[in-house]
Amino acid sequence: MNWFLAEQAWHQTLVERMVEIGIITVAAGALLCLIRIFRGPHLADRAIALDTIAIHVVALVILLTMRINSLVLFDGALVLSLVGFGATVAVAQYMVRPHRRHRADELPDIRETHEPPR
Amino acid sequence: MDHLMLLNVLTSAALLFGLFFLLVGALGVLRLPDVYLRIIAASKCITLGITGMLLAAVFHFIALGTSGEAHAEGSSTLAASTKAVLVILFQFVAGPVGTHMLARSAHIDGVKMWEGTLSDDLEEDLIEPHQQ
Repeated sequence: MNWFLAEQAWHQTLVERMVEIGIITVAAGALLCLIRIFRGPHLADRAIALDTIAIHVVALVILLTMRINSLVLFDGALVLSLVGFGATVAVAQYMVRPHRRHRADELPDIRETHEPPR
Repeated sequence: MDHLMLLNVLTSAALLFGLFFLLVGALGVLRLPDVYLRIIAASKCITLGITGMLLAAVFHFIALGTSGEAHAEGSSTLAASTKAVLVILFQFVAGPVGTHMLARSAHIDGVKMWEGTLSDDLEEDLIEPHQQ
């Protein structure tokens, strides 16, 4: 009856140690990306470092669900991956927008080069 | 109890896979000399790293479900596995799309390439309509 109190098998101990090592590793990786955010010379450097930090936060949420053996936080992984992709796309559009108007002025107008619809 | 050992070893292997790619991606974002090379490193980190972590979570919760220790409050193992597969598919589609958009925007914004880069095909494609 007291198999809860029995000593764990080696593979369960392996998984627990791996999760603890993983939390430390992912936090260290997020700190490395934070250094790139402070140091990055261009906006694209900061954007890609922020995207990588979002991925590391998703990994931290997954490791936390494995640590506490509960699935209540598992939706956070889905939501955070969606938000990270949205942030990357928004920064990319923000960077390319002042150049798009000049290129549209130089290129021929689309309405003149194509046949009008009948 | 034998399949439980197999699931736990699979969990550890997938976790090691994901952690390796996450750490290598973070190191690449910090250490590589160029925006585009950093984007390559981060793209590997986005797809493969998160795939390893989610597979580890799925194996772990299957192992918990079979050993009768699951404290699944609010959702079951099947729902969590479905969400994990959804996140993997979404990352495999959205990660390359986002990093490709970011690299193209950086190129249009005029970011200089590393001096060891051999070719720049996007510049030729962007200049070509003006010459015709």
